[in-house]
Amino acid sequence: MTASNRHKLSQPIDPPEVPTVEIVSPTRRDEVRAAMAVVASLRDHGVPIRDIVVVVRDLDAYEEPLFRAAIQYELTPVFWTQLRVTRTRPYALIEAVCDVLDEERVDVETLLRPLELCWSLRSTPGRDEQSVSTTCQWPIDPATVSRVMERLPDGTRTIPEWVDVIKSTGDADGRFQRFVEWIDDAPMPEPESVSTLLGDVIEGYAEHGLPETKAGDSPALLETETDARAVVRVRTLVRQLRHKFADRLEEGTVDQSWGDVANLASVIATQRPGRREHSNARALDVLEANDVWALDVPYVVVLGLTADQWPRPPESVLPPEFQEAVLQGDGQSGLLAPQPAWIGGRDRDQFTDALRAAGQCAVVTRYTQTREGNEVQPSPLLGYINTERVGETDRERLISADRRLPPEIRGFVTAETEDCDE
Amino acid sequence: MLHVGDEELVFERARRCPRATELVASPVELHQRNVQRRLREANLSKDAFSFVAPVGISKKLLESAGRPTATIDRIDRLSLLHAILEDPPSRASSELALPPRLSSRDPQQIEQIRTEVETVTNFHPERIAAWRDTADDLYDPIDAESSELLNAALFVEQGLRDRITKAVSETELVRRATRMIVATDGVGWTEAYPHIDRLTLLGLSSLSAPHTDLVHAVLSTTPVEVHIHFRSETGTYLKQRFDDLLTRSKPGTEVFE
Repeated sequence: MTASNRHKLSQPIDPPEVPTVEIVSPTRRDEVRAAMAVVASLRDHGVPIRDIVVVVRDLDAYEEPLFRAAIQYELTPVFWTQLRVTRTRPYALIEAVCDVLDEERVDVETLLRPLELCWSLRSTPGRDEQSVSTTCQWPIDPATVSRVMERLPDGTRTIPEWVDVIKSTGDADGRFQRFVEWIDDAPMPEPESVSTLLGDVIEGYAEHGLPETKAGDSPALLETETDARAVVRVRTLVRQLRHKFADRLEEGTVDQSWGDVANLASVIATQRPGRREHSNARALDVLEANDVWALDVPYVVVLGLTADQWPRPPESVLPPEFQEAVLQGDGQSGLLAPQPAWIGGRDRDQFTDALRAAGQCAVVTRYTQTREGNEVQPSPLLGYINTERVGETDRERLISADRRLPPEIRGFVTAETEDCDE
Repeated sequence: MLHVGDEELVFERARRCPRATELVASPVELHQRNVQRRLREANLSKDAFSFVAPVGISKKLLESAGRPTATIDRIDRLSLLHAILEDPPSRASSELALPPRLSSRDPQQIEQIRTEVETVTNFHPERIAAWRDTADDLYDPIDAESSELLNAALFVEQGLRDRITKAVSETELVRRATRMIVATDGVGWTEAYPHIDRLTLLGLSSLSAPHTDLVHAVLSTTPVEVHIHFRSETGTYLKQRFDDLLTRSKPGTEVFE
């Protein structure tokens, strides 16, 4: 093994076969707007949504701004990433229920929080008909919850005390009473009862809360989709919770409390398993760079080509000198499996694969300053390729109300349209 | 066969047929979807291919041989590591001497050390020896640090095994499957996959020791053709390193046995 092989990991990369256009914006927000404006303008020119893919280095930093910009441009984005279940309403509902059950005495905000999150009584087969009356419609609408919350007294009380208070409050209809009695009836947390009780909460939500979300959603049904995905994930979580809680009780590492149940749920929910979310075909695909390999679409827009994002520092705990010896692979160390990611090999693969996924034109974007006004350097990987840079006037025009594709990109679309006409 | 890119070769093998004859494995789940989309858009049949995750192959091999496949997950490992680090304190602290930049009390950090050592060595005795040799050739204090990391990983891996009957991780299933193929001289593979004549690994930016050993076992005991497609920037390097990675003694062997 010679050292020259090792250097194959840092030699100049081959430029992609299709032209690359670069858009440089002042801030990340501007960058995201420019990217979505490119997508919207390509659509204006008749490019099908399936012919465009948006690639980011890391969705954590870009998901939210991209989502907002996409809505502004009337695009429906689909993020091919882990659903952050802890930020969804079904998960918040599970948490809120554990909170009420965990404390000896609770205040009115804690008590009624599950109702704000659309807690609903799960319908029991066979009993449905008789329970359908005007006072048993679930979930309780937010205005009613809020009105009752204001009428109830301040201070903390035990659940039985709250049952009495609510019985004597005229404004609180039978549904409030039904809810506090349900809380009062809750058993001690055992693996079995945790799974039954939280299972009922999530099924009640699926029956009653989900249709509410759908009724109030935009035509693209984005919230409904997120909500529905979250219901599926929380169901799985409740199943896992039962087994993990049993294991932990046996080990003696948790107490038999609803607070510990909630903590365990959060540990499970914040793990990132390999599973990816699925979605519909009429939306704009937004992928992380690692996932683009082998895709072949005409237009690819790659965001985040800044020095701090691309490449990212390696996460290894091994000393760099040891890594280097393994990468060189001289003598015995040749047996050890070298990880090119130690020196940015994976970043280079992902950069090249993102550009190569484009059959017609690749657009790369970056921003030059942080929100605090500090300068942000371009990714060193950009140094390997020739890009046609969009002028400042054309960039401003692109994100203006009267948007227009920059000439560097417009050329491809026109050529393509003419090809089709022939 | 080792390739840099060239995944088009897979598409050329697409055809209508009664059953799959090629296992297509990719470590990144979405890469399979990308390949399937390409096939669909080119109006090519998926019939010839069976798409699987690399660990799925190991599970199927073990199930077919009637071996257990239950594993604990990362959450369980972190919880067990916490217990190992605390108990008994004296023993753990002597075995877990770590470089000053690392904490021997942080289960997440210890788990990362364990997985990195596993990725580089697959706990194979020859590679453990190679790690020690490589560390010895470095200067002070990097030589000691590199050995400490290895010792810590072996100590906690052993600790995890002592505390559970299930497999420590899905990677352990890959090792068990590797040993099963070797021990049955390839019969175990053929029984699980009677119609498969080709195994294709796609989209690799690295080649871990566990996957190397699995491939090694298949190549040395079965007539199955193996194709590995590396990604474009790291591929030329990885292709040239492949032969050196193969152990002389049986793949899948562990230093713990």
